[in-house]
Amino acid sequence: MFNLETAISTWKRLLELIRSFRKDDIEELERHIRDVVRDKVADGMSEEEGYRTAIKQIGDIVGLESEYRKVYWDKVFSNKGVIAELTLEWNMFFNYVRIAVRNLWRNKGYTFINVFGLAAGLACVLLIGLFILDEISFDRHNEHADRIVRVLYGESQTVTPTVVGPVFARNFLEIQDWTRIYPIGMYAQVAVKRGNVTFEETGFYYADSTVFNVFTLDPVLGTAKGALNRPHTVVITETIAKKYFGDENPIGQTIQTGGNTDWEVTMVVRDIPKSSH
Amino acid sequence: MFSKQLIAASLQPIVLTILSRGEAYGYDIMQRALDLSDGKLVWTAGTLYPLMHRLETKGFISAIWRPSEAGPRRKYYRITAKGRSVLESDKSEWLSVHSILIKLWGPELAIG
Repeated sequence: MFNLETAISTWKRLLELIRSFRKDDIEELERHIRDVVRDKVADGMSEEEGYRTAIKQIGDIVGLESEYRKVYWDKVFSNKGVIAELTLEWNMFFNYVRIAVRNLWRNKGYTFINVFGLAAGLACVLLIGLFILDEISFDRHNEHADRIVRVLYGESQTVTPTVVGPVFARNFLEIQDWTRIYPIGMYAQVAVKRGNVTFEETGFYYADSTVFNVFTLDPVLGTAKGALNRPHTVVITETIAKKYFGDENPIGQTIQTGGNTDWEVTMVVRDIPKSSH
Repeated sequence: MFSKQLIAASLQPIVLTILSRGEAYGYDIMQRALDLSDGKLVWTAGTLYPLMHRLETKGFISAIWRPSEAGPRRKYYRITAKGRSVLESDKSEWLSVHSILIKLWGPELAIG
Protein backbone atom coordinates (compact mmCIF):
# COMPACT_ATOMS: atom_id res chain seq x y z
CA MET A 1 0.00 0.00 0.00
CA PHE A 2 1.46 3.33 -1.03
CA ASN A 3 2.06 5.83 1.72
CA LEU A 4 2.97 9.35 0.65
CA GLU A 5 4.74 10.23 3.90
CA THR A 6 6.90 7.12 3.79
CA ALA A 7 7.73 7.74 0.16
CA ILE A 8 8.70 11.35 0.76
CA SER A 9 10.75 10.66 3.87
CA THR A 10 12.59 7.82 2.11
CA TRP A 11 13.36 10.13 -0.76
CA LYS A 12 14.53 12.84 1.65
CA ARG A 13 16.82 10.44 3.47
CA LEU A 14 18.49 9.69 0.17
CA LEU A 15 19.14 13.36 -0.54
CA GLU A 16 20.36 14.05 2.97
CA LEU A 17 23.24 11.70 2.34
CA ILE A 18 24.53 13.94 -0.44
CA ARG A 19 26.39 17.03 0.65
CA SER A 20 25.51 19.15 -2.37
CA PHE A 21 21.97 19.36 -1.02
CA ARG A 22 21.48 21.65 1.89
CA LYS A 23 18.57 21.33 4.27
CA ASP A 24 16.82 24.29 2.65
CA ASP A 25 17.14 22.79 -0.80
CA ILE A 26 15.61 19.52 0.33
CA GLU A 27 12.77 21.31 2.06
CA GLU A 28 12.10 23.36 -1.06
CA LEU A 29 12.04 20.22 -3.20
CA GLU A 30 9.77 18.51 -0.67
CA ARG A 31 7.33 21.42 -0.86
CA HIS A 32 7.47 21.09 -4.61
CA ILE A 33 6.60 17.40 -4.50
CA ARG A 34 3.75 18.03 -2.11
CA ASP A 35 2.39 20.82 -4.34
CA VAL A 36 2.49 18.57 -7.38
CA VAL A 37 0.79 15.73 -5.53
CA ARG A 38 -1.89 18.08 -4.20
CA ASP A 39 -2.66 19.42 -7.70
CA LYS A 40 -2.62 15.98 -9.29
CA VAL A 41 -4.95 14.59 -6.64
CA ALA A 42 -7.24 17.56 -7.28
CA ASP A 43 -7.17 16.53 -10.96
CA GLY A 44 -8.35 13.09 -9.97
CA MET A 45 -5.09 11.17 -9.81
CA SER A 46 -4.15 8.89 -6.92
CA GLU A 47 -1.50 10.00 -4.45
CA GLU A 48 0.89 7.40 -5.83
CA GLU A 49 0.48 8.62 -9.41
CA GLY A 50 0.89 12.19 -8.25
CA TYR A 51 4.04 11.29 -6.39
CA ARG A 52 5.49 9.47 -9.39
CA THR A 53 4.76 12.46 -11.62
CA ALA A 54 6.47 14.77 -9.17
CA ILE A 55 9.56 12.59 -8.94
CA LYS A 56 9.70 12.38 -12.73
CA GLN A 57 9.54 16.16 -12.94
CA ILE A 58 12.38 16.55 -10.52
CA GLY A 59 14.54 14.25 -12.58
CA ASP A 60 16.96 11.57 -11.51
CA ILE A 61 19.07 12.15 -8.43
CA VAL A 62 22.37 11.99 -10.32
CA GLY A 63 21.38 14.83 -12.63
CA LEU A 64 19.88 16.76 -9.76
CA GLU A 65 23.00 16.31 -7.70
CA SER A 66 25.28 17.56 -10.47
CA GLU A 67 23.15 20.69 -10.91
CA TYR A 68 23.13 21.42 -7.21
CA ARG A 69 26.82 20.74 -6.90
CA LYS A 70 27.55 23.48 -9.45
CA VAL A 71 25.38 25.82 -7.43
CA TYR A 72 27.10 24.78 -4.25
CA TRP A 73 30.59 25.50 -5.58
CA ASP A 74 29.44 28.74 -7.20
CA LYS A 75 28.32 29.85 -3.78
CA VAL A 76 31.50 28.71 -2.13
CA PHE A 77 33.57 30.79 -4.52
CA SER A 78 31.35 33.84 -4.89
CA ASN A 79 30.52 34.61 -1.26
CA LYS A 80 34.08 34.31 0.01
CA GLY A 81 32.90 30.96 1.31
CA VAL A 82 36.22 29.33 0.64
CA ILE A 83 37.35 29.98 4.20
CA ALA A 84 34.10 28.58 5.55
CA GLU A 85 34.49 25.54 3.33
CA LEU A 86 38.03 24.99 4.53
CA THR A 87 36.96 25.42 8.13
CA LEU A 88 34.30 22.81 7.56
CA GLU A 89 36.80 20.44 6.00
CA TRP A 90 39.18 21.04 8.90
CA ASN A 91 36.45 20.30 11.43
CA MET A 92 35.34 17.29 9.48
CA PHE A 93 38.89 16.02 9.51
CA PHE A 94 38.73 15.29 13.23
CA ASN A 95 35.38 13.66 12.67
CA TYR A 96 36.94 11.40 10.05
CA VAL A 97 39.73 10.52 12.43
CA ARG A 98 37.25 9.65 15.15
CA ILE A 99 35.22 7.48 12.81
CA ALA A 100 38.37 5.78 11.58
CA VAL A 101 39.42 4.97 15.12
CA ARG A 102 35.97 3.61 15.95
CA ASN A 103 36.01 1.38 12.91
CA LEU A 104 39.48 0.15 13.73
CA TRP A 105 38.34 -0.63 17.24
CA ARG A 106 35.28 -2.47 16.03
CA ASN A 107 37.23 -4.77 13.70
CA LYS A 108 40.06 -5.65 16.04
CA GLY A 109 41.11 -8.74 14.12
CA TYR A 110 41.48 -6.97 10.81
CA THR A 111 43.05 -3.98 12.50
CA PHE A 112 45.65 -6.26 14.01
CA ILE A 113 46.39 -7.94 10.67
CA ASN A 114 46.63 -4.61 8.87
CA VAL A 115 48.68 -2.77 11.44
CA PHE A 116 50.95 -5.70 12.12
CA GLY A 117 51.36 -6.39 8.42
CA LEU A 118 52.21 -2.79 7.68
CA ALA A 119 54.61 -2.65 10.61
CA ALA A 120 56.35 -5.83 9.52
CA GLY A 121 56.56 -4.55 5.97
CA LEU A 122 57.99 -1.21 7.01
CA ALA A 123 60.46 -2.91 9.31
CA CYS A 124 61.67 -5.09 6.44
CA VAL A 125 62.04 -2.11 4.15
CA LEU A 126 63.97 -0.18 6.79
CA LEU A 127 66.26 -3.10 7.52
CA ILE A 128 66.95 -3.71 3.84
CA GLY A 129 67.49 0.01 3.35
CA LEU A 130 69.96 0.22 6.22
CA PHE A 131 71.76 -2.86 4.97
CA ILE A 132 72.08 -1.40 1.47
CA LEU A 133 73.22 1.96 2.85
CA ASP A 134 75.83 0.17 4.91
CA GLU A 135 76.96 -1.87 1.92
CA ILE A 136 77.37 1.04 -0.47
CA SER A 137 78.96 3.27 2.13
CA PHE A 138 82.00 0.96 2.36
CA ASP A 139 85.33 2.49 1.42
CA ARG A 140 83.60 5.65 0.21
CA HIS A 141 85.71 7.81 2.47
CA ASN A 142 88.63 7.34 0.11
CA GLU A 143 89.15 10.36 -2.07
CA HIS A 144 89.71 8.18 -5.15
CA ALA A 145 87.09 5.62 -4.15
CA ASP A 146 85.60 5.51 -7.64
CA ARG A 147 88.99 4.74 -9.20
CA ILE A 148 90.37 2.19 -6.77
CA VAL A 149 90.25 -1.44 -7.86
CA ARG A 150 91.23 -4.47 -5.94
CA VAL A 151 92.92 -7.27 -7.78
CA LEU A 152 91.79 -10.75 -6.85
CA TYR A 153 93.38 -14.01 -7.68
CA GLY A 154 91.34 -16.91 -9.00
CA GLU A 155 87.74 -17.11 -7.90
CA SER A 156 87.96 -15.74 -4.40
CA GLN A 157 91.59 -15.44 -3.41
CA THR A 158 92.05 -11.97 -1.99
CA VAL A 159 95.80 -12.36 -1.85
CA THR A 160 97.79 -11.95 -5.05
CA PRO A 161 101.46 -12.61 -5.68
CA THR A 162 103.57 -9.54 -4.97
CA VAL A 163 104.60 -9.30 -8.58
CA VAL A 164 101.07 -8.50 -9.78
CA GLY A 165 101.38 -4.81 -8.82
CA PRO A 166 104.54 -3.87 -10.74
CA VAL A 167 103.76 -6.11 -13.73
CA PHE A 168 100.26 -4.75 -14.11
CA ALA A 169 101.50 -1.19 -13.79
CA ARG A 170 104.02 -1.85 -16.55
CA ASN A 171 101.48 -3.43 -18.90
CA PHE A 172 98.36 -1.36 -18.37
CA LEU A 173 98.71 2.34 -19.12
CA GLU A 174 95.44 3.05 -17.34
CA ILE A 175 96.97 2.31 -13.96
CA GLN A 176 97.99 5.64 -12.48
CA ASP A 177 99.34 4.30 -9.23
CA TRP A 178 99.27 1.09 -7.30
CA THR A 179 100.00 -0.25 -3.88
CA ARG A 180 100.07 -3.54 -2.08
CA ILE A 181 98.93 -4.22 1.43
CA TYR A 182 99.06 -7.46 3.33
CA PRO A 183 97.07 -7.92 6.51
CA ILE A 184 99.60 -9.98 8.34
CA GLY A 185 97.66 -9.60 11.56
CA MET A 186 94.52 -11.05 10.06
CA TYR A 187 95.96 -14.55 9.80
CA ALA A 188 97.81 -14.65 13.07
CA GLN A 189 97.75 -12.07 15.79
CA VAL A 190 100.91 -10.02 15.95
CA ALA A 191 102.46 -9.55 19.33
CA VAL A 192 103.45 -5.92 19.50
CA LYS A 193 105.68 -4.81 22.31
CA ARG A 194 106.61 -1.44 23.63
CA GLY A 195 109.00 -1.62 26.45
CA ASN A 196 107.67 -4.40 28.69
CA VAL A 197 104.08 -4.18 27.58
CA THR A 198 102.84 -6.53 24.87
CA PHE A 199 99.60 -6.32 22.91
CA GLU A 200 98.15 -8.84 20.46
CA GLU A 201 97.16 -6.96 17.33
CA THR A 202 95.04 -8.10 14.37
CA GLY A 203 95.16 -4.88 12.39
CA PHE A 204 98.82 -5.09 11.47
CA TYR A 205 99.49 -4.56 7.76
CA TYR A 206 102.48 -4.64 5.49
CA ALA A 207 102.16 -1.88 2.92
CA ASP A 208 103.98 -0.19 0.05
CA SER A 209 105.02 3.40 0.50
CA THR A 210 102.53 4.26 -2.26
CA VAL A 211 99.64 3.33 0.02
CA PHE A 212 99.10 7.07 0.65
CA ASN A 213 98.67 7.75 -3.08
CA VAL A 214 95.85 5.27 -3.39
CA PHE A 215 94.03 5.41 -0.06
CA THR A 216 93.08 8.51 1.81
CA LEU A 217 94.83 8.57 5.18
CA ASP A 218 94.62 11.83 7.09
CA PRO A 219 97.94 12.67 8.70
CA VAL A 220 97.77 13.80 12.31
CA LEU A 221 101.50 13.79 13.00
CA GLY A 222 104.20 13.53 10.37
CA THR A 223 103.66 13.55 6.62
CA ALA A 224 102.84 10.83 4.13
CA LYS A 225 105.80 11.82 2.00
CA GLY A 226 108.53 9.34 2.74
CA ALA A 227 106.71 7.91 5.75
CA LEU A 228 107.24 4.33 4.59
CA ASN A 229 110.29 4.81 2.41
CA ARG A 230 112.62 2.95 4.75
CA PRO A 231 112.15 -0.62 5.90
CA HIS A 232 111.03 -1.12 9.49
CA THR A 233 108.99 2.02 9.64
CA VAL A 234 105.39 1.96 10.79
CA VAL A 235 102.36 4.23 10.46
CA ILE A 236 99.87 4.02 13.29
CA THR A 237 96.41 5.40 13.95
CA GLU A 238 95.53 7.84 16.69
CA THR A 239 93.93 5.13 18.81
CA ILE A 240 97.02 2.93 18.61
CA ALA A 241 99.25 5.91 19.34
CA LYS A 242 97.29 6.59 22.48
CA LYS A 243 97.35 2.93 23.46
CA TYR A 244 101.12 2.58 23.18
CA PHE A 245 102.45 6.03 23.89
CA GLY A 246 99.75 7.79 25.87
CA ASP A 247 100.33 11.50 25.55
CA GLU A 248 103.94 11.18 24.41
CA ASN A 249 104.86 12.10 20.86
CA PRO A 250 105.15 8.73 19.10
CA ILE A 251 107.12 10.00 16.10
CA GLY A 252 110.61 8.51 16.11
CA GLN A 253 109.77 6.03 18.88
CA THR A 254 109.92 2.30 18.29
CA ILE A 255 107.74 -0.71 18.88
CA GLN A 256 108.83 -4.33 18.60
CA THR A 257 107.14 -7.34 17.11
CA GLY A 258 107.98 -10.97 17.72
CA GLY A 259 111.68 -11.70 17.20
CA ASN A 260 112.44 -8.29 18.55
CA THR A 261 112.18 -6.49 15.24
CA ASP A 262 112.13 -2.75 15.80
CA TRP A 263 109.64 -0.58 14.00
CA GLU A 264 110.07 3.17 13.97
CA VAL A 265 106.87 5.21 14.06
CA THR A 266 107.07 7.79 11.26
CA MET A 267 103.50 8.95 11.04
CA VAL A 268 100.21 8.99 12.92
CA VAL A 269 96.97 9.02 10.93
CA ARG A 270 93.39 9.65 11.87
CA ASP A 271 91.45 6.48 12.67
CA ILE A 272 90.20 4.68 9.60
CA PRO A 273 86.38 4.58 9.45
CA LYS A 274 84.70 1.31 10.38
CA SER A 275 83.12 1.11 6.94
CA SER A 276 86.43 0.18 5.47
CA HIS A 277 88.10 -3.04 4.37
CA MET B 1 7.98 20.63 -25.97
CA PHE B 2 10.86 22.97 -26.71
CA SER B 3 14.40 21.83 -27.26
CA LYS B 4 16.72 21.64 -24.29
CA GLN B 5 18.89 24.52 -25.44
CA LEU B 6 15.96 26.83 -26.00
CA ILE B 7 14.53 26.00 -22.61
CA ALA B 8 17.87 26.65 -20.94
CA ALA B 9 18.32 29.95 -22.74
CA SER B 10 14.83 31.22 -22.06
CA LEU B 11 14.72 30.20 -18.41
CA GLN B 12 16.30 33.34 -17.01
CA PRO B 13 14.15 35.95 -18.85
CA ILE B 14 10.97 34.01 -18.20
CA VAL B 15 11.69 33.54 -14.51
CA LEU B 16 12.70 37.18 -14.10
CA THR B 17 9.60 38.38 -15.93
CA ILE B 18 7.30 36.29 -13.78
CA LEU B 19 9.02 37.58 -10.65
CA SER B 20 8.84 41.17 -11.90
CA ARG B 21 5.09 40.84 -11.57
CA GLY B 22 5.28 39.82 -7.93
CA GLU B 23 7.03 37.34 -5.66
CA ALA B 24 6.46 33.65 -6.16
CA TYR B 25 7.73 30.24 -5.04
CA GLY B 26 9.32 27.64 -7.28
CA TYR B 27 6.33 25.47 -8.04
CA ASP B 28 4.24 28.58 -8.65
CA ILE B 29 6.75 29.86 -11.24
CA MET B 30 6.81 26.50 -12.96
CA GLN B 31 3.04 26.27 -13.15
CA ARG B 32 2.73 29.76 -14.57
CA ALA B 33 5.34 29.07 -17.25
CA LEU B 34 3.56 25.84 -18.10
CA ASP B 35 0.19 27.61 -18.39
CA LEU B 36 1.62 30.46 -20.45
CA SER B 37 3.23 28.09 -22.95
CA ASP B 38 0.23 25.76 -23.23
CA GLY B 39 2.26 23.01 -21.68
CA LYS B 40 5.25 23.35 -24.02
CA LEU B 41 7.63 24.81 -21.49
CA VAL B 42 8.42 21.79 -19.37
CA TRP B 43 11.08 22.46 -16.78
CA THR B 44 12.26 19.88 -14.36
CA ALA B 45 12.62 20.94 -10.78
CA GLY B 46 16.22 19.90 -11.13
CA THR B 47 16.71 22.69 -13.66
CA LEU B 48 14.61 25.39 -12.06
CA TYR B 49 15.79 25.28 -8.46
CA PRO B 50 19.50 25.30 -9.21
CA LEU B 51 18.86 28.22 -11.58
CA MET B 52 17.10 30.07 -8.78
CA HIS B 53 20.19 29.54 -6.66
CA ARG B 54 22.39 30.86 -9.41
CA LEU B 55 20.24 33.96 -9.92
CA GLU B 56 20.33 34.49 -6.19
CA THR B 57 24.12 34.22 -6.13
CA LYS B 58 24.36 36.73 -8.95
CA GLY B 59 22.07 39.05 -6.99
CA PHE B 60 19.25 39.13 -9.56
CA ILE B 61 16.70 37.78 -7.12
CA SER B 62 16.36 37.45 -3.38
CA ALA B 63 14.76 34.60 -1.50
CA ILE B 64 12.96 34.42 1.81
CA TRP B 65 11.36 31.58 3.74
CA ARG B 66 7.86 32.54 4.78
CA PRO B 67 4.77 30.61 5.93
CA SER B 68 2.27 30.33 3.09
CA GLU B 69 -1.49 30.81 3.35
CA ALA B 70 -1.80 27.03 3.29
CA GLY B 71 0.43 26.65 6.34
CA PRO B 72 3.86 25.08 5.69
CA ARG B 73 6.65 27.52 5.00
CA ARG B 74 7.80 28.08 1.44
CA LYS B 75 10.75 29.77 -0.17
CA TYR B 76 9.52 32.89 -1.92
CA TYR B 77 11.60 34.56 -4.58
CA ARG B 78 11.59 38.27 -5.36
CA ILE B 79 13.32 40.22 -8.13
CA THR B 80 15.96 42.79 -7.15
CA ALA B 81 16.82 46.11 -8.80
CA LYS B 82 19.81 44.46 -10.40
CA GLY B 83 17.52 41.70 -11.63
CA ARG B 84 15.23 44.23 -13.22
CA SER B 85 18.03 45.90 -15.17
CA VAL B 86 19.25 42.48 -16.33
CA LEU B 87 15.71 41.68 -17.39
CA GLU B 88 15.60 44.90 -19.47
CA SER B 89 18.75 43.98 -21.37
CA ASP B 90 17.50 40.38 -21.76
CA LYS B 91 14.27 41.74 -23.12
CA SER B 92 15.92 43.95 -25.74
CA GLU B 93 18.15 41.05 -26.84
CA TRP B 94 15.25 38.65 -27.22
CA LEU B 95 13.16 41.24 -29.03
CA SER B 96 15.92 42.02 -31.50
CA VAL B 97 16.38 38.31 -32.21
CA HIS B 98 12.65 38.08 -32.59
CA SER B 99 12.52 41.01 -35.04
CA ILE B 100 15.34 39.51 -37.10
CA LEU B 101 13.43 36.27 -37.39
CA ILE B 102 10.23 38.10 -38.28
CA LYS B 103 12.04 40.02 -41.03
CA LEU B 104 13.60 36.84 -42.36
CA TRP B 105 10.45 34.80 -42.28
CA GLY B 106 7.93 37.54 -43.10
CA PRO B 107 8.14 37.61 -46.92
CA GLU B 108 8.33 33.86 -47.20
CA LEU B 109 5.26 33.56 -45.04
CA ALA B 110 3.55 36.09 -47.31
CA ILE B 111 4.50 34.08 -50.38
CA GLY B 112 3.77 30.73 -48.77
